[in-house]
Amino acid sequence: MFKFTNIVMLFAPIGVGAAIAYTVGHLGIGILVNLVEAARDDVRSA
Amino acid sequence: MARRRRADPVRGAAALADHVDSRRRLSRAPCSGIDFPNAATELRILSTIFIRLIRTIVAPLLFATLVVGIAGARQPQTGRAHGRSRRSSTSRSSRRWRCSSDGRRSRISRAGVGITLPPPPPGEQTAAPAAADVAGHRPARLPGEHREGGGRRRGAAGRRLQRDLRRGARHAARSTTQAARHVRRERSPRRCSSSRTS
Repeated sequence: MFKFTNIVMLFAPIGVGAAIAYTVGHLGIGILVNLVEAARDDVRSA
Repeated sequence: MARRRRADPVRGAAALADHVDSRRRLSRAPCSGIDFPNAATELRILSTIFIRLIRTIVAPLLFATLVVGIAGARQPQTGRAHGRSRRSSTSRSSRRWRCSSDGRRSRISRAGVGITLPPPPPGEQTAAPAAADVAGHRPARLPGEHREGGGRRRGAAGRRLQRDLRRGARHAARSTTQAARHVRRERSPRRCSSSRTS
């Protein structure tokens, strides 16, 4: 059980990277604009 | 602090694309989503695998958390030993304990019966049981084993027990169906039948 959780956690960067790559490749880099804006606001307000 | 500028999506996208493009040219690192959109679309299988892995793991993780939480909450001190002989077997609280779901369960599972622990090594400090517990202690009864002497009871519980016994005898003498009904009522699992029949 914990070993399996470990495997999933180790696979997380690959999965998330693949998800971002798929999204960007499919919809273009503009889809990340809102994300960057939100992150910038968070950094500013902090 | 300036008001948050609502980004024009097209302009923002173009600016971001320019920025990413310049950085990419600086670093000359491949950026799969931008450089190879068709290949990046093929990466969907990896993200699908990841999401399905998470969906696989959520259900057993939730179940295990619930089980551990409930088991830990029901018996805070005796998580392993399933309720040691923590009460004297004649007290009122003992009856409550036997009639509780835990007591019934341990009577069915007979957890702890027949266990003889080796004496602790000399010099080791062990918690001594209270004197009242030692005085009132009786060996654990097996299911179906009767209490010796009927187990004299005081107070309302004793009167109820005597009355039930009298009624049971009268019913047995009068009519078998009534006696059977009485016995059925006595043996109903909601009541603690072992403490009433003797």
